[in-house]
Amino acid sequence: MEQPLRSVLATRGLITFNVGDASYAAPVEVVAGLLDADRISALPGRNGPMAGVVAFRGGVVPVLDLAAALNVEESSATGAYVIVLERGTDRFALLVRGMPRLVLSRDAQHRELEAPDPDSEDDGPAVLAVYEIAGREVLGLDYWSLMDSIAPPAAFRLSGIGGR
Amino acid sequence: MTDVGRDHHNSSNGHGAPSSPPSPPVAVFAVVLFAGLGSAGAAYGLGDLLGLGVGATIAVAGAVVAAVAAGKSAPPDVKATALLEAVTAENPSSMPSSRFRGEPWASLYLLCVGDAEAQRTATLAVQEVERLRRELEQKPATTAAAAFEPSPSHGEDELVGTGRASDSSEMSAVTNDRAAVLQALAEALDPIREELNAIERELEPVVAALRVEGSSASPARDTTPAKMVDALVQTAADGIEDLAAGLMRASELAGVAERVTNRATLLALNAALEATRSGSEAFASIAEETRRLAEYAREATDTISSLSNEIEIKVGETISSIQTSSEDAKAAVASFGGGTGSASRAVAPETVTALQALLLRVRSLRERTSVREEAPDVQEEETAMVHMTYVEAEERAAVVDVGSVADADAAPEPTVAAIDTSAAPESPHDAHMTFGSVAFGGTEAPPPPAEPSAPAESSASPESSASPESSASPESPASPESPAAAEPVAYVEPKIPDWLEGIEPRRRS
Repeated sequence: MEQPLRSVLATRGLITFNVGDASYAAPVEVVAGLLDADRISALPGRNGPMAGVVAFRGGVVPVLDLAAALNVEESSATGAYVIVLERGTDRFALLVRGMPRLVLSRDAQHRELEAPDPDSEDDGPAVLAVYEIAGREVLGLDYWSLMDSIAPPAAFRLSGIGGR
Repeated sequence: MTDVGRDHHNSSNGHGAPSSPPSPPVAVFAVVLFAGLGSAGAAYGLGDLLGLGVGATIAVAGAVVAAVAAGKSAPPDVKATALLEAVTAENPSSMPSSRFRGEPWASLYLLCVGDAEAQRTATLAVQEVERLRRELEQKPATTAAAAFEPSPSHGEDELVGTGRASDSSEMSAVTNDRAAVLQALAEALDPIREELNAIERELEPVVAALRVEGSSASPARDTTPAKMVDALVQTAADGIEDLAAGLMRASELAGVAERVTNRATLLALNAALEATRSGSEAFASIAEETRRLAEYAREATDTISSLSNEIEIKVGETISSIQTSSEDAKAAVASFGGGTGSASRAVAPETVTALQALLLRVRSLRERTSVREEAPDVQEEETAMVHMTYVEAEERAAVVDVGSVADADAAPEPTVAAIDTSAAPESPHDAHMTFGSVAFGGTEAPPPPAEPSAPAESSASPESSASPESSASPESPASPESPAAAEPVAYVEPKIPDWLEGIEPRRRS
C-alpha cells in the first residue's frame, strides 16, 4: 500500500490568520503580499464564496472568502484583509478577518501529520500541515485545491468540455 | 336842493333830528343826479342809445360819490347824537364805526367807550370786595375752611348792587374777621397735622429700609430668574457646541489615525514578509523602519484616543455643570417666585419710588399746615392785600368819576402807556378785575393778560409794596391764568360825560 505523501515544511515563516475559532497559516513562500480589503472590486453576479477581484502588481487576482468557503460564520465588525497567494504565475487571494500575523519558523513548532484515513468521507479541504504556535494549533490548508474546487482553472474546464 | 339833502338824512335815521343846513356835497349830489338824468332823457328822446347810457352812468356815479361825501361830512350835531347813541349802547364796540373815522371823532368815541368800561370795571371791583366782606362776616368760624383760600371763581359769581364800603371801620372789621377765620382754620388743621406726622414717622423707616435693600441688592437685580436661566442655557449651549465640534474633529482624526495605523501595520507586515521570503538584510531594515512607523502611528492613535477620552470627560463635566446650573436656576426661580423668607424682601424699584413720593407729599402737607400756624405775617399779608384791593378799587372809581372825562378836551389823545402804568394790576388779587383792559388812542384793545408782576413805581396805594411777596404766596386767590378775566360781567349803566348832557341820545327801537 502506498503511503500518503507527507508534506515536508521547510519554510522561513508563516502568515497566520483566524477564521472563526480556528487558526490557519500559510508559508511565506507562497504568500505574495497582503492588501487591505477595501481594494476588492465586487463582480456582477457574485455568488458563493467568491468575494470579487483585486488588483495586485499589474494583474487581476480573484479573491476567495475563506470563511464562506469553510462555512464559518464571522462578523464583519473587524477589518478585512486580503492574502495574495501565488503558485508559479497563478495567483489568487484569501479574504480573512483580522490583521494577519507573521510568525518566524523559530517561533513555531512543526508537528508531523498523521496519515489520513482513506475511509474517511470528510470532503473538507486537505490539511497539509499542523503547526503549534504559542501552544495553539494552527492548520496549514491546501488553499489551491480549495480554490480549484470553487473556481476551476480554464484549462481544466476546457479539458472537461472535451478539448485538449 | 337843500331839502333834498335834509330829507335824505332824515330818512336814513328814521327819527326826527334837529334841523341843520344842507351840506355842500348833498347839493352837488342833487345837481349831478339831475344833470345826468336830464342828459339821459335828452339822449333817449333823440334816439341816441350811447348818450342814454353815458347819461345814466354819470347820474349813478354822481349819486354814489355825493352819498359818500354826505356821510363823511355829516354835521357835528348829528355825529354827536350818533356818538352818544353808540356810547350808551349795551355792548359798545371797542372800535369806532365807519361814521366816526377820522379825527377828532374817533378819539372822542374811544375816550367815551373806554371811560364807560373803566367805570364799570371799578364798580365790579367794589362789588367784589363788598361781597367778600359779607361772606367773611356771615360764615361761621368752624366752616370757614372752604373760604380760607379765596377762589378765582369769585369773579364768576353773580355781581349785583352798586354799594361801596367807604369807611375804614368796615375795612378793619374785614381784617379782624379774616384773622379769626385763619385762626379757626389753623385749629382745625391741628389733628390733620398730627396725623400727617404719624404717617411720616411710619413711612420714614420703611422707605429707608427699602432704599438700603435696593442699593445692596442692585447687583442681584440683574440676576433675575429669566436672566439666570438664559445665562445658564447660553453657557450650556456654548459648552455643547464646543464639545460637539471637538468630538466631531476627534472622531475624524481617530478614524484617520486608525486607517493610517492599519496601513502602516500592513506595510510593515508586507516588508517583513518580503524580508522573510528573500532573507535580504535590506528588506529587513526596511521592514524594521516600517514597523517603527507602524508603532508611531499606533502611538498617535493612542494619543487621539486619549484626546477623545478627555473630550468625553469634558462632556461629562459639562453635563454635570448643566445639571448643577439647572438646579441653581430652579432654586432661583423658586426663591423669586415663592415670596417667602428673604425672597419676599425683593421689592420692585417702582414701589420704593412710590413710597418716597408719598413721603414727600406727607411732608409737604405737614409743612403747609405748619406755615398756616407759625407764620402770622402771612395772615397780615392777605389782610393787606384785601385792604389794598378795596382802596384801589375806590380810587379807580373816583378817578373815573371826576378825572379822565373832564380832561378829555385838553388831552384828546391819551397814550396807551399812560393808561397802562396806572392801570396795571398791582397783585394777582386785582388781576381778574380787568383794570388794565382799557385802551386809548385808536389802537386795538383786546383784553390784556394779567401780568403777575406789578410796576414798582405804582402809586395806587401805600400797601402796594406788599404785592410782590403776595404774588409768590400759594394762597393767592386769583392766578394770572384765572378765567374770571375772560368771563362776561354784569352790565352796569355807564356814566354819561358832562359834555354830552345837552345832546339827546337816540335809543334803538
